[in-house]
Amino acid sequence: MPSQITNYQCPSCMGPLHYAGASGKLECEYCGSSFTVQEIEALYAEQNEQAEQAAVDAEQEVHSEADYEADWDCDAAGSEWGAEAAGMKQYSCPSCGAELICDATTAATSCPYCGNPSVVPGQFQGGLKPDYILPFKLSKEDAVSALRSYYKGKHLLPKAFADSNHIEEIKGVYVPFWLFNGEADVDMRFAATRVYTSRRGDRRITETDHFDVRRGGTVAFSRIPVDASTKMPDSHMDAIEPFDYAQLRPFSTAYLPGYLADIYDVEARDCARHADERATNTAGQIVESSVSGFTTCTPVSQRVRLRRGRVDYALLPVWMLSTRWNGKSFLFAMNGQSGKLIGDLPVSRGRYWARFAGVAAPIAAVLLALQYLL
Amino acid sequence: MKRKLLCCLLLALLLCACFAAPAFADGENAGLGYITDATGSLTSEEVQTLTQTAAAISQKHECGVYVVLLEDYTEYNRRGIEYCAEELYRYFDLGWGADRDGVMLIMSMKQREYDIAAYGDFGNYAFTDYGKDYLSRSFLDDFRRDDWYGGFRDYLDTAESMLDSAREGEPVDLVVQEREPVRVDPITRVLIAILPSSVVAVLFCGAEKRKMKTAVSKRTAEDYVVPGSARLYIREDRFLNRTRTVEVIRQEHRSSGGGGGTTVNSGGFSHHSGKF
Repeated sequence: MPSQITNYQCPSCMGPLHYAGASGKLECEYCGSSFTVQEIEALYAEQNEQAEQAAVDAEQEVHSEADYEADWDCDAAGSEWGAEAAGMKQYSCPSCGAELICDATTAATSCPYCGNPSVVPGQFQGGLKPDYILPFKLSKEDAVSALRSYYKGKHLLPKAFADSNHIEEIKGVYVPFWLFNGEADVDMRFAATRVYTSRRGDRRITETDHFDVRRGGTVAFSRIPVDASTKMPDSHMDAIEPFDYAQLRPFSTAYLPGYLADIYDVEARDCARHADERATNTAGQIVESSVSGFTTCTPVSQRVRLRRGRVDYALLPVWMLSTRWNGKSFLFAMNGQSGKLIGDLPVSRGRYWARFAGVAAPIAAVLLALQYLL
Repeated sequence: MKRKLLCCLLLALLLCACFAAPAFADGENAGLGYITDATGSLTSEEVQTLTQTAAAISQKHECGVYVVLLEDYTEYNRRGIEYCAEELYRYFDLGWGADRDGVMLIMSMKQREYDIAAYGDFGNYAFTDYGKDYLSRSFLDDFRRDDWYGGFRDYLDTAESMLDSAREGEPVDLVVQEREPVRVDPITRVLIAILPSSVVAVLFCGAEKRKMKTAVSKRTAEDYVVPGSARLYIREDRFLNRTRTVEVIRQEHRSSGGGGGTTVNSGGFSHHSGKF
């Protein structure tokens, strides 16, 4: 029976392959051979088709109750999955035969037993297939180094956090994003004034011209990204932007080995509100910036009509790093393409107050001295 | 201007010939006398007495003290009584010594205006802004009663005492009162020091704290604007109305600017003018 999982293996030594961002090729961890994405795609086309078919068959399979002999009482062992079962999927690792229990949205993972990168091509069937993928450019080492650099210059960071901090987990994830294309028609009105001041004798004359200013225009947006996975914190995914879309490639599962990948679990229409808000705000700012030559300018009304266009589905590269300190988890995200790293850090109360005193004390001393001197 | 100056000269020469004979004795003044009355407000005896007094004061202090009484100063200079005073002073080369130190009281009966003009280093030193005001207060009450002789006597007496003071190194000037130091108790002083410094520290630490929280949602999409796609199709600036406000600029009072001294113009004169 064909497996639903594809393990990309080296044609030379059968070792596991992983996609290396630096070379843009799939590399063998054992013999060091490297292969282009196109070569691997051609090699694994048939196997992927079989895996996709196996996924379809698995969906349709009617589970029949096993006809067990009555010598073991298995009724008490385990319990029903219940509602959780809907969110889980079971696969068999083609390398070692281990059973893999994954989220229903998992599209690429690694076998916890043999460590082989495993791709589930069936997850990308039909409408679930991404249009694009932005391959990883930066490695795990780059992410670790970026985190170390991120701590530098943070004067309120507890010393123990930086010194004894160990990265608990680091994973490269292809995060599903909806990319929204469209145009915004903006019609704005402003109350503007132009003020002239002159002096005649001992009088200062201020003349204010009042204007009703109207601006209307269009602004086109291309691929505003909104994270389509509930597993990823939206604020983290927003903060690591922007991505360079010039590097976008047509989707291929050959980019996935070595990384985790999820399929979307938030519909595009549910993400659209965030894209609409961002497009509306920016279009308003651009139109407002065209008002010039006035002393004051206050927006009075704003009407924005969005002409929503095509929505693309893409997997974008993100390094997720998590640490634990004082029983709390800290999650960091790094743009796998640009290296921009973000994440909230703990604040040391001691350092905060030391800093406070370091600033306040000299100023207070100077002010006190001035009071006695002047 | 030349015609007016000529008139002025003729008038002055005439007046000098009549009343100022003793003044020429010291040889310092070539034209105008110490006391010049073109209005007939003083008798010849009064002029003579005043001239002798003025000459004595001037000689003692080497600083000319003059009085010029005109019917209408605009016949000599239309720009103002101060300009008229300067023109006469310069034209007749009044004053003592190389600096031409002196003080002149010029009065115009038609406008009932007067001006005290001081000139020269010592003249301006002795007759400060406050001093000229002080000098004017000595004769104004006499002039309001049309007591011209009494007024000029008071003028000469006061000018003499002012010159005495100036020679002693203490010209009559505004005494700047030392402000009473505000008594602030130590606790208030500490609070005054702590509060603003705490505000600065809170702002500084707030900025540091913001650097610790970088996972923030985006509200704009400027990175995804298609280059060159922004087009304006409505651009209207409609004028509605104009409003006008007029504000009277409060003039700073000269004496409130931080003490005494003399305000000397570019011509080297200092003035104090008014009505009598």
